[in-house]
Amino acid sequence: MPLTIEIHAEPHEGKRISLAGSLDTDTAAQLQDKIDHEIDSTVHMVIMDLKRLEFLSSAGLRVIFKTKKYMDSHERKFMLLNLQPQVRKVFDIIKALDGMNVFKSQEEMDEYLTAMQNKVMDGDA
Amino acid sequence: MVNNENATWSKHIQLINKTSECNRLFEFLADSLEQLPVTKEFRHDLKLVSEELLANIIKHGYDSHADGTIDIELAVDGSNVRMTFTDSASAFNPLERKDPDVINDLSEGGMGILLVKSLTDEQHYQRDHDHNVFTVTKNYNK
Repeated sequence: MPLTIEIHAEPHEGKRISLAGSLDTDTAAQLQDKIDHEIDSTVHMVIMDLKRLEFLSSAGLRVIFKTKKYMDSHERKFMLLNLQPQVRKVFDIIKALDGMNVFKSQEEMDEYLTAMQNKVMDGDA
Repeated sequence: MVNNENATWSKHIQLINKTSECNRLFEFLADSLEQLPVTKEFRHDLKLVSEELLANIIKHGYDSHADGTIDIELAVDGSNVRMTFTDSASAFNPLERKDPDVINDLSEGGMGILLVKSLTDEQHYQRDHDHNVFTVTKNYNK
């Protein structure tokens, strides 16, 4: 099964990486290449949308963790969205969700971002 | 080398040490499991286990420039599905790897074998006449 990668701009200098198909030992390099080209220090927020990701192995996890680590090192936001049960199970076995921003739905993430935005505006007032 | 004489039936495939062989492995697994009353979750778990073991052999066993083969046998004995991976790469026992600290050290390996151990009932490695033989067993009635 191939991997489909779509990257779109989001508000607040963000980018959404939407994955579909299989992120495995054969396709992980494709994602790494895309991220290397599209994500740099000018990107303030990465949303990794896994709604249509059907399969994830440790090779794919490594790319995800590497991206999170890069964003953390630049004090930027990294968020995981729409983890399907079989994908969530992989994260859970590795105990990798601690310290990550994980959202079950777009609505839940929007609420979080709105709260963050309000906090910044309150701080500015 | 592979002792599956007690199995009800078994199937075999030979792959080369290229990551592009993942798709052939997945097709082999899907075809083999089609005849069994297994859940979607069981199929997914065994697919993940197989992928991790294949990746381990390609990455840690064979030198990246060397051509090699990986023989995979899937044998069914009652409700036990046993998969045996045999390769002729350097001796490598993935069970000796320590569990990873993924968040703090991305270069650390071991995530794959942690998944394998978590998603199967038994794992066994042996070095047999210049071959690595790694066997996992998973019961679909558990």
